[in-house]
Amino acid sequence: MSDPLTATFAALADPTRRAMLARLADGPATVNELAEPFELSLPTVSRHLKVLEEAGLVVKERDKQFRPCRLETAPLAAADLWMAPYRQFFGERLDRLDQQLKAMMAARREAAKTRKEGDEK
Amino acid sequence: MTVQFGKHQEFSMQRVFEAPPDMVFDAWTRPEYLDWFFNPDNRTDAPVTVDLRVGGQWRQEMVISPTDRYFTGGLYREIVPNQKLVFAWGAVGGWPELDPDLPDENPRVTLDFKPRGEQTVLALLVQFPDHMTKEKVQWWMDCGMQAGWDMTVDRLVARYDGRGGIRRAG
Repeated sequence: MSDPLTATFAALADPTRRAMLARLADGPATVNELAEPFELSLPTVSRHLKVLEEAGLVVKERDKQFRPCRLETAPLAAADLWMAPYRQFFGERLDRLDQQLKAMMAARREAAKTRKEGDEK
Repeated sequence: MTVQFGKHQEFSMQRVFEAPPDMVFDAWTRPEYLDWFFNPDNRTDAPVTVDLRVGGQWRQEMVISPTDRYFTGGLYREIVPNQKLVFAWGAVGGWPELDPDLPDENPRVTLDFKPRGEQTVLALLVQFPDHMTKEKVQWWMDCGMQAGWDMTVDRLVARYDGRGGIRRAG
């Protein structure tokens, strides 16, 4: 996972980790607090946290007693995630443009063929 | 006011179409060929309007559901027939909201149509003015984590895995 974008997407690929990020978006939380809503063991939660930490999405406070975790938003901005709806908007439309152009080309070829047949008669 | 278009606040896409540039350009600029831009399966009776000149606007109604609809389109900034089209993306009273006097406040879309044999290579570039970036990052943090987030991220991850990497703009 040398590419930061790869690490970001890999970290976001898991729904539990996304739920943890959503929780942290409300403010810092301890590991115990993060584990609460899930029926998961603390080691499992810690493992998810480690992935988020490695992706730079979560930072553990070094100087506080319970070492609460907080959300780090820079990788989300770097991953251009905020652009995702726009990207999706144009991506879907270009797919349909492709279909429409194929139909237009087929119609053009058909028209040319009809014209040619008309000329030959 | 000078609006900045910074680096890393843009994305690009490239598509190859099995049609000549004039046809692809027409598909972007002639109302009768803009069907593909609608939301699929949801049609509107509102006509597509195109005023193809610099400063002119293209408007098209997008229907999400019978009660949820909005106008989108663009204000043309640069037109080179069959080669290049630049527009400020948006519509007056629509999404993205467009002020015709301040088109640079909106995302800017640049389309390049290049012939390649019988095909057209279309490069699409969407650039966001700097003020939008901060707002949008905040938007993601405020509400993007909820509705739409899972679906969008799942799609992104699928695309990323499938193609070995999203092409980053900048």
